[in-house]
Amino acid sequence: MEILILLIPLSVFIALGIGVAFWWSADDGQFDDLESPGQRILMDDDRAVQDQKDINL
Amino acid sequence: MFEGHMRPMCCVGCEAVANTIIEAGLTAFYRERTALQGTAANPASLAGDLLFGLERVQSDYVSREGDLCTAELYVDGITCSACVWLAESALQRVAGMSRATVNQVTHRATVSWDARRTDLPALLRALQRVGLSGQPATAAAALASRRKHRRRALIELGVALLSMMQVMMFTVPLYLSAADDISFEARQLMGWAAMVLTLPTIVYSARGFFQGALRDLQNRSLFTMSMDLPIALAIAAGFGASCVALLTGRGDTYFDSISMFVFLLLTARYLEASARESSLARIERLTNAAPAVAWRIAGFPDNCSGAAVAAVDLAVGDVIRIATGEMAAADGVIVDGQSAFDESLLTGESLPVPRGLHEPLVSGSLNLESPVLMRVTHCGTQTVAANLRRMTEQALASRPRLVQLADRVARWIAPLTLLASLAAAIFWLSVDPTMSFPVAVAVLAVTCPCALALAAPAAQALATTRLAQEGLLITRADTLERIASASDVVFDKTGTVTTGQISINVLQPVSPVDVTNVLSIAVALENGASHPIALAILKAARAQSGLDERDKPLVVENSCVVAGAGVEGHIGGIHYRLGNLPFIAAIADASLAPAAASLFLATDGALLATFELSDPVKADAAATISMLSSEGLCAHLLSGDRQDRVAQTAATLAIPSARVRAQVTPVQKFAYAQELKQQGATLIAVGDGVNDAPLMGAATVSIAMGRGADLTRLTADAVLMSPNLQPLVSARRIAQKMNRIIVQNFCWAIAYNVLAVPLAMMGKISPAWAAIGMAISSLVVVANSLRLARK
Repeated sequence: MEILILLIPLSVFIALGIGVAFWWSADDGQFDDLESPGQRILMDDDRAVQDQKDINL
Repeated sequence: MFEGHMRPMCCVGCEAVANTIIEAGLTAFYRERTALQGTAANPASLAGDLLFGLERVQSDYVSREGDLCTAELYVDGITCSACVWLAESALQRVAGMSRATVNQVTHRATVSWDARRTDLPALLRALQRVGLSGQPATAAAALASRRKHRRRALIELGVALLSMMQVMMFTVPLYLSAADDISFEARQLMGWAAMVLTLPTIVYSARGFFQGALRDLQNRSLFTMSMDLPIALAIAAGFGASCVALLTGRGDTYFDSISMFVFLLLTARYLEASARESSLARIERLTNAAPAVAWRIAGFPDNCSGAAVAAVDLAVGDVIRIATGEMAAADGVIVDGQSAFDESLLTGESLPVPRGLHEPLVSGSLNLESPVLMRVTHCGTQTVAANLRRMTEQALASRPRLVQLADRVARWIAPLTLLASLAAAIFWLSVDPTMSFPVAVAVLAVTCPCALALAAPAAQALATTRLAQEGLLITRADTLERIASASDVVFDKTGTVTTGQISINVLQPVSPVDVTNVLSIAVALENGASHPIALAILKAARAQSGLDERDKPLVVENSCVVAGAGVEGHIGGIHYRLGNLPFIAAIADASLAPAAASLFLATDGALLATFELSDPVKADAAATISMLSSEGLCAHLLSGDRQDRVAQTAATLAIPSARVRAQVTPVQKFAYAQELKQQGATLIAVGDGVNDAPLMGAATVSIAMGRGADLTRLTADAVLMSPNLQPLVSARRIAQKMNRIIVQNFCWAIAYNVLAVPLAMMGKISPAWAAIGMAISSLVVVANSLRLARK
């Protein structure tokens, strides 16, 4: 059971670390919009202008 | 032509936009879009946005740090995630742009740019080039503070949740294990770990309670006290006692219950705050919809070139141009052109409304068809939208009777809790001193007036907002409560259950001419006129026979309009007159005409036809009244109109004649209302709000029709903005649901407290269970109130 002496403080530090990470992310506005960033990653960067004939309208 | 396919375009504007999108290399928009967009902004309106560069307009919306400017834009026209991408790409291509993100849910874009390299108008033009329109959204300062509040509430909640979960990890083993399974050292270590993890909750998440408690103490008034003081005392006492137990190694620790207590309380408050915030945001759209700039035509009507001005600089009497796709910046009347307008922001009605010459426009109406010129009649804080917003905010800020009662009771609860806790502590001191402290903490923690303090205001805000969306604006706080308990509803006829727009519904050819013929003559005589009767004739002609003024028009010679009488002219050499009785009586004998007729067509010596002008009943009026009666509301109809017409309307609406009065003056209407009240009825009066003032004053609840009424002088309890009557049914249902929910919350709160507080005082509830019970009780009532938001 001596291992608890290491594990318990360790878990406390991990929990505090998670707390700080959460504080930072919320303060940075990561939770302001839960929809668009997830979709943004699916959008490719602008594709180059294609053949000239496609553009004639 | 796009990727080798021909695509149909609705107009040149769209084609230009499509061109721009493809040439800009943004063809991905068409590949990724999942929904078709609504109307695109007309390129003609681009110039107007130059004005956003004005210091005066910018200062409200833009926050500046050195050369870096930041603003929040409301982007119109976003329908899917492809639009979000398009808006962002368009903005990011502007040189000098440092950041642009668009929120798909709120349709707001946050943009930051370098003031030396670009400006706000350039960004708006960039958006408009891809068919979206942007407008500065919220005053920068208000926005920043709101965002800070929202984020802080989220962090407080998150920290409390994290802390609660971790503390549980350390305390649950202690509960589950036998006394000597875990060594004393390990037990102590876990206790310390729990203490360390509870600290952020107390120092950070719960500081709101401590600040509130401190404020209460500084006020030194027992009856303005909130529940913050008992809560803060319970937290502090529980934490202190746990620390002492930890240090001495004896007694119980309550770290788990403290963190859970704080977490559940914060959850309830967070839910309540977000409900209120979303209510506010929806109301804000009312005024934010009006653009900040307008295109003023200074020299109208001689000179039609104009200049863009800030909307705040508009004055009554100015003539402004509203291009297609733009919104009216102020209230006014159309002086040139006609178009269809989307007034859904104000009325909740999604169908476009046609507006022609001399017809009124309200600010925030979106021009859908063609450009019009409008003379400003109200601007700034005098507009309908601004008034409505003010009234709704007032209603939200004032508190209905039930909520006031809740407040009064809640005020007593905090001091009573403190007293009860003290009394219990003293009592237990003489019986069993070791129990004294836990019992006092348990009493502090277990008392829950949240149903009173949190749930009632949330329910009220949600109900008010939902009705506003449907087109019924509540302007007084206790209106909803009274609607719920009303027994009778009194309608005015003209403009309330009828549309207020004249139409011809009975047509009686007197001499043997056929109906179509009569109508073509009438149409030809009225040709070119635009007053309501002429339009009504045209509509009747179209309905009757598919006749159109363009179909084989009859040629009228010597056409002449006699003001206040009618029109006359020659068709095929025969002299015709169309008009009122005296006008016709001059050329023909009209003594045989039926009494109901009010418009006549005659030729020299002979009456050809009589028309009855009527005001059609609103399409949903009959359905609304039958639904209201199934909701337990008894409908009455009062009108100053003639007996036969009122009887006919009443028959359409299925109102029994015992509850119908025709040809009554406003004073008689008032007497009728008084009579009903003496019979024990509670009345809702629905009328135009101006002519019915005495009736409205006598009724328990007055609902005015918002159309055309002077809202600045209106004193009604609610304003019906929608042209339909349907929102009245919703109002009744939502009001009753709100009352039910508030009463349920009250019952729950009373039952809970009556049961829990004595048990806690008797020492039957440990502080841990007291904290859980109280927090869950408050969650229950808030969740119950939030049911109102569901359709």
